[in-house]
Amino acid sequence: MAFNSYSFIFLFLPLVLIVWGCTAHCPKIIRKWLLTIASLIFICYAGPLHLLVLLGSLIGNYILIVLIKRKHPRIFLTIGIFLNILFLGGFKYADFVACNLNRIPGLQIPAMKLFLPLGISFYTFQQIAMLVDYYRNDLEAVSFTDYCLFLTFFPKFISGPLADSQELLGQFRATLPRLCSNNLAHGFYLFSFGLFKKVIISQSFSVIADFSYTNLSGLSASEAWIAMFAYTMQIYYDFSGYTDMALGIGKCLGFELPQNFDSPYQALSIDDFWKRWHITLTDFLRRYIYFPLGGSRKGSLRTCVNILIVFLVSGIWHGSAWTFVLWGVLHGILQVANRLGNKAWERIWKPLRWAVTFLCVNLLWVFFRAPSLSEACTLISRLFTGEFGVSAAFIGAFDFPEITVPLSILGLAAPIYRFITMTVVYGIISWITFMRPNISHKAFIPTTGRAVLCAFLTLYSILSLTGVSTFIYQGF
Amino acid sequence: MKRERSFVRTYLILLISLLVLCAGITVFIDPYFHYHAPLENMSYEYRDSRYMNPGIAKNFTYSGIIAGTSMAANFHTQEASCLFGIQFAKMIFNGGSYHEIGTNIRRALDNNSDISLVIQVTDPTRLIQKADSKFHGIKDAGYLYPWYLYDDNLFTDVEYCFNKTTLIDSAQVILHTLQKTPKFDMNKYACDASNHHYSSSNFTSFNYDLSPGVVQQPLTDTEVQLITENVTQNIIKNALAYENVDFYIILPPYSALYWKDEYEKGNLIKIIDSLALEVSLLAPYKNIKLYSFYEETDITCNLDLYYDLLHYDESVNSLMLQSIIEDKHQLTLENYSSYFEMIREIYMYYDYPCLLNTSSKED
Repeated sequence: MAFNSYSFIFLFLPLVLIVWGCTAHCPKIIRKWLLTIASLIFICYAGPLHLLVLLGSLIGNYILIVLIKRKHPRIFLTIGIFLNILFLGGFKYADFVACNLNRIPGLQIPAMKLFLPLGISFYTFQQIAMLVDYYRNDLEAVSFTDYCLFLTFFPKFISGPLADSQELLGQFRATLPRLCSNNLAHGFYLFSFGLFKKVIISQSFSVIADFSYTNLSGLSASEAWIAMFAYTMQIYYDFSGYTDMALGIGKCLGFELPQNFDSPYQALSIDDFWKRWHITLTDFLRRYIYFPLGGSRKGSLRTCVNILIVFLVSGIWHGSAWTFVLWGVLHGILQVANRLGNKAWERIWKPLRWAVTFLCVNLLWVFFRAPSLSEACTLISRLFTGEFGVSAAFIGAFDFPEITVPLSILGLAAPIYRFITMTVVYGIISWITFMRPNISHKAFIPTTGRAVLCAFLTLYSILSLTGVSTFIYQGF
Repeated sequence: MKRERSFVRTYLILLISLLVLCAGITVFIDPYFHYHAPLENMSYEYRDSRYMNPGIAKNFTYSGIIAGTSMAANFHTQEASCLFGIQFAKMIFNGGSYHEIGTNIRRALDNNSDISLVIQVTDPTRLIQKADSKFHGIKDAGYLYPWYLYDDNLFTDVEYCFNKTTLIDSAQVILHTLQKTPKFDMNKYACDASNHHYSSSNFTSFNYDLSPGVVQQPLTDTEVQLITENVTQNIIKNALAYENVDFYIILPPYSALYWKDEYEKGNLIKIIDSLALEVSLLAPYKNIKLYSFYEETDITCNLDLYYDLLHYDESVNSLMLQSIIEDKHQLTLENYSSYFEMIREIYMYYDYPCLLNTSSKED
């Protein structure tokens, strides 16, 4: 069940809020289980198999957590990490590995074609983090109730953020919040903006990106640059929108989820970018891979190697294809270069630093989006063909009835007017992206004007739900 | 706290009110006839037929149905009404499967006891398919199938009632009514003849030379089973459920170049045999009559009547209706074997290069 769906907005969320509000005086354990059951229903909506896989992982990891505290902690930690990686690898990477091994002459490993369990990448990483924290005594004893709620908590289940176990469990252990207008106001505010970003803004860029990636060889240089930029914005608003919705829902219930996003396209370096994009994943990788490898404590060469390993893991985590691996490795290389040349980099004129960083991020997103390495290279090569101009078919991909119908009525149906409108709309969105802070970082002041704005944003988004693509990060 | 409470109140009241208003407009105007027939004196515009077909099936007043893929798009209901003496509704599914069309015919039959005649054009390109194939190729093109209009589930109607496109279309209905645009005309519904150029000049780059000795594949047992299930589930089942309704099944006259193309792919015998099988399955039923026009080389070899290998001019649709009234071109259990033998002879050995010199039709 996606946040941007009728069933979630009209049925699930209102019911959960009503039940949460009506059970304010119930014992804590009952409220926790109600929230857990709601989360399990949320997960089960995708299919009972998704739920079964999750429950298997959850119970198995909880047993390991109990065993770590009893005896042979190191052994059980190792087993736990190994089994979790095997679990994730089996579902997500088995066919990818088989497909590549089959290139060896004589080898014919059949594809298993397993379904991808919802949220598996997130909850597997979450549980590995908890095992390690438990082993290091960074985490207090956690009850099965709290563990279940933490892992299944529906606002963050599908695509994060990767909540810090101590932080969120602390909220579950404390007095559970009641429904209050303070939290609801802020929560609705975040949710409405998040929904608008996902359903309207991200979608408006996705039409250009999707059209371009299905017509790569025919793109002019201008179209290729626009397509590249369109996907950069699409994934930004998709993820930013999702995160705001997750934070908003958590806020409505009275819980604080961690920020996952901090205007990454305002970054002045690749290092800065990764401090702003998918912040909780960066945090996870740093704490559970980079630091255990030695971090920056073992010399410059080893530090660079550690960085490359971290980004290799990041690339692999994002998807089972060579494009994701290359995307991760290239980010790693840029990160290493940034580290080595940081002093010189800092002296460069700020706008130029921003431009180079943004350009690098754009180019690397091509590998993230393209279905294959060759198609990624095709798009990049189209950037430099020297053919300019934008075709009517390309402009035609930008087809929104709320824009095309008024233009037709005004007698402005010609492609040039649509292109101008498209440019204005994208220009406004770009200005917001590059110049304004993320909505979740701004202080929330509940005014009537904002309430009216949020109502209209939510209305417009709901009316646009039919025809919206699924979350990009839902496949992780 | 007071400001937050005011925020929540304003947000929820305004949002819910606007949602109710939008849904109310959509339900009242009902641009796709999901709840009722067109409102009197309002000018509804044509939308994608898949969005309108289920509503037409349930809510319009008619005694006859013309259904099928794009092969049936250019039938004129007024002409059919004059010939058959009953009012017709058209239900067209471009590229549709037997399942899609059969299910909608069934929806119409279940909701309208006045129906006495179904004229259904079956598409050979959709014959060798699974019986429950829902649509063909549309999914890959990113088409948003309006399942919520077909499932008779009130809960899924949220996709209709809270849909900006539907709302815009409702606004368009109001606008067109104010502009006194002509009302919804079933006679023109789904017709697309005016969008195409029918001429032999469309085929100048076609290779007319017949490759000698191309091996023709027979129907496999699996394909025989697929055809049997497809026809049984999607046509025969309807005919059996409504024995008082006459079903006229038309095999549409694809152009001769279609047969040439299939010959080159090695499929000509397979397709002819599949059609023969379909006819053998349908002909025994008293309320099913079959009509075929493949032997009409005056049509199939006149490339000025086609804009591609399959799609013919609306004059061919008229001719088909006339033939039904005059009981011509009918296939029966007695004549279908010899008929398809004749078709095989015609298209296996036709002098396709002579089609290069097809004369233009008179203006």
